[in-house]
Amino acid sequence: MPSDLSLTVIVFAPLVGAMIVLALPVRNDLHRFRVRTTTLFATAVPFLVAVFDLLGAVGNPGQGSIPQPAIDAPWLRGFFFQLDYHLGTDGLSLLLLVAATAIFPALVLASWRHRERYRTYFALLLLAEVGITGAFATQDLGMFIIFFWFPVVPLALLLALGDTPGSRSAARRLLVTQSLSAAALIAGTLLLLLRTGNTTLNFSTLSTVKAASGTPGLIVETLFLAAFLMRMGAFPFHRWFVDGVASASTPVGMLLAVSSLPVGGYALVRIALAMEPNGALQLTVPLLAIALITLFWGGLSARSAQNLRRIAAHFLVAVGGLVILGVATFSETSLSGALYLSFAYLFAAPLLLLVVGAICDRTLLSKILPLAGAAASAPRLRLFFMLAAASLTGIPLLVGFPGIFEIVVSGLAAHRVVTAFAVLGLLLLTAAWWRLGHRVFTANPDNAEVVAVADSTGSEFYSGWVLAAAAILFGIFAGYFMPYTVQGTALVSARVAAVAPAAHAQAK
Amino acid sequence: MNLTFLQDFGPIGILLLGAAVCAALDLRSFDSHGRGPQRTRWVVLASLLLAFVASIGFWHSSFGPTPPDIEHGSLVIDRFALFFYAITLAAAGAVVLCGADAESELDPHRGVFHLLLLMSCAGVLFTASATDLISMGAGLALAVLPMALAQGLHKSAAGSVRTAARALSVSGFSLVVFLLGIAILAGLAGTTTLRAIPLGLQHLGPLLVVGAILMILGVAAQFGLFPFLWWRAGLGSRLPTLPFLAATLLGSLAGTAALLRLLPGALGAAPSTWTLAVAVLAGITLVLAPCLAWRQRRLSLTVVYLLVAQLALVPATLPEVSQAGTATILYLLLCVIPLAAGLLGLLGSIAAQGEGSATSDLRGLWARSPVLAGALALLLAGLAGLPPLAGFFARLMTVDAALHAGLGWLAWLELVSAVISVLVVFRWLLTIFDARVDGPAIALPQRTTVIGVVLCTGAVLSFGLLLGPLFAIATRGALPPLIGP
Repeated sequence: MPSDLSLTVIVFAPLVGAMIVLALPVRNDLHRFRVRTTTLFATAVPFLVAVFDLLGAVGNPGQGSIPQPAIDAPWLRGFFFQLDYHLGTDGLSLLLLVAATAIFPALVLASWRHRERYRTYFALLLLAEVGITGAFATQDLGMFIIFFWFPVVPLALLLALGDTPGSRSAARRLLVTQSLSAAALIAGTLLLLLRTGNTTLNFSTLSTVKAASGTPGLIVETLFLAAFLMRMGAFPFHRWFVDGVASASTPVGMLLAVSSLPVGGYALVRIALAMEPNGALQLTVPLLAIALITLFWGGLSARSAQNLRRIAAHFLVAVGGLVILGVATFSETSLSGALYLSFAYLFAAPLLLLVVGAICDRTLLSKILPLAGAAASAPRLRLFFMLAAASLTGIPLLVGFPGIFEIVVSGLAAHRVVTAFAVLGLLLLTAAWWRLGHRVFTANPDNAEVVAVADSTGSEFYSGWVLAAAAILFGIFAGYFMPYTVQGTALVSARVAAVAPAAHAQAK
Repeated sequence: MNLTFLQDFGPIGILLLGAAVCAALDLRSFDSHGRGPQRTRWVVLASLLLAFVASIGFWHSSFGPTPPDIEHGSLVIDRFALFFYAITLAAAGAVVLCGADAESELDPHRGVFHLLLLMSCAGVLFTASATDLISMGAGLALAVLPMALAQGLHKSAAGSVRTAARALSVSGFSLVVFLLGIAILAGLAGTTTLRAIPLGLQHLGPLLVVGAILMILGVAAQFGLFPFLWWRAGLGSRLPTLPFLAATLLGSLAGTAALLRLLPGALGAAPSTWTLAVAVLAGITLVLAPCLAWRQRRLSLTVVYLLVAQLALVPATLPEVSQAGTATILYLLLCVIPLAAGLLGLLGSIAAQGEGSATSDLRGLWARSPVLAGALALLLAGLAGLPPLAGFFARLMTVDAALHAGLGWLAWLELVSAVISVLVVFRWLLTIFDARVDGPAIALPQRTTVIGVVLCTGAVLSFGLLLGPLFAIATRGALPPLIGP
């Protein structure tokens, strides 16, 4: 297979899978099994191709700044802007793409016992994958907008069709927030084109045009930041995410997590920073403020909340604060830290939600008070929970550590006070995690009526192990992959550094 | 014997000939065991196909780039006209195919409807070719009035007859307003030839603004723009599906052709006289129509309001007087046709089976007819402008065109309209896919309708992917003087 087709296969194999799944009959168990296995196959193919690409890329150091492999074909010409079918991965996106493709087989395994609306459910899952992987694979801003929007309706439908209390209002909130996010992104893009006089939407071209100073750049950057912070679920746009995770079924909650922070964090670096560095520099203080508020708001809410799913959601919101801090530090190391933390989030967040969902589904309870000690007899779930939470709080040798370490170290050099507060927030988050783990997994049962949670078995067990193994492997071998990411972030930070004196003068 | 006349009016002549055959078959239908109406449908389709092939042939011949002068400069068959020929004929074909199930509403007047449809098509073609104010007025009347008459063919319901009478009155009134506008323009310019108008307009006074506003208001009724929004929706709720669909599509096409020839074409050098009026009307409609769609409990009405919101993007893009701006409008029309035909055809088919389009009727449609529900969902998604369907690109390009025209506020309104449309469609998707309700299965539409709907859904899916080639064709259709001075 020619290498330039591999990304097309990665992005569109799930779409073909969705069409096949919709055409399959579902009259008996055998038919349903075929639907599940077809979905699993449609998600496994992109993963295998992506791993092949990753191994090829990491074996060729020095290519992290150039999209590899690339396919670039004209799509729309003669309009005010040009659209291209342009796919390619570089240091900024390759790891995230691989992680996104790895998550979906785990999601299908987690959905193995799903019983309602077989075809619709699995087809929507596959459609969501097209949007998420496409966002990481494209090198064209026009296509990015399409992929950015693409998973929103499948996600909202998956959420709303869950028929759990509050799922419909959560789906509506998701749809409104993400529609506004897409509208802001489109408006920002069009203003960017007007400002630069450019017609091409190619990432590499837009990342080299002369950065605007003053109000035009500021408006574009504000729109971009609003779009991506909404997608990340950062404060004050976190409500859709928390409500969504709290009311979704376990696999749909995992999918929400996968589609939010990683895509938003990546877009912050790739688009908001690389294309409007001047505006980003002018907005450093608001960005830092949002980072701290998100971190503390999430940590305090996780500390005080009583609903298990909401605690997990607030916990994940708080991690977004660290990613924003990494982005607002603008250095090559901090940006690579932000991207690596997003990468870690792709494994750890679904794992955390898998465990929380398993406990809530089996006990039919969601408040932590009656759940005291309920999962004490489930060692595998306890291990998964610890791995996920420890990864997201930066415990060494796990996948979250390198990212958080780089963010904190480079943050201390650039914004000492803010980073000190961020470390405090991280401690708060760790305390929330410890409280939750102690209450559910190790405390003595308070409520004799609560049936002990059965341990993870079958498809859920395999799904958990896929994610847990990734969290450990990418933590231990982070040194092999991070240089590739740094090559990508070096270009962005160099662009920011080039306009920094002008921006400071502007601010004065 | 000079046969140039036959060649020049080839596509229009084919349509009028087809209309004559339809009339003859309809007259004979009473003594041919009722098979006349079936035959008229095939006569219409054959006429449309022949005219379509002739138009494509003209496009590839020297007609497009070097259009000959017809009837002393009152008509021209340039690439702009040929683009409209092709999409008008395709739209009429889509109406006939998708509306096959809904034809039963018109019994025993199917033949008359087919006749009127072909005449209306000929009117749109005439309007698209018009280079003179008088021929344009005549073309618009020929396009609009037959469809207004067709709306009265459903004789069984007293309410619909009253509505049809009102439709005829409003259409006639809007035509009069339009004619008044072009009369003022002709008086100020001292000529009725579009090409000579920019030279004849020495002073841009308030009377010219009044003339432009009257022309815009006259055409606004065809789009269902504010203040005709409620009237258009009322037609959609009370009239038979097929005439309403045909009137919406053909009226909009004729209106767009006229507006493009008049505003960026003849008045392209004086945009200040008409830009604000067009933008304000479009802006109000863009926000109001989706909001009204949100309030509806019947899908048919929701679709009508959303279609109006989509069509309002045409006048919203007019202020961008450039080749890309005009090409955007042409591409937008390409996207609207399959959406409107597919959606209203499907709803007509559901109605023909005795099912309503209220929320309670369509709840859980997915369980009762997955194919119908899937097609409906896809077309609704296209109407909302979800990527990567055709409607998304059309919306994106219109927003960009508004920004280029310096109308940032209009671009924002377009984005707001898109967001509200998405919410409206999402609510209906939830209703359609609701698993809590079950009911008797709904049969698939008849074969002709299925073919039409498959073609329309295919177009909605593929027009986004074929954006480049289609936009290139639209760009070739957007010729001077339609792109400003």
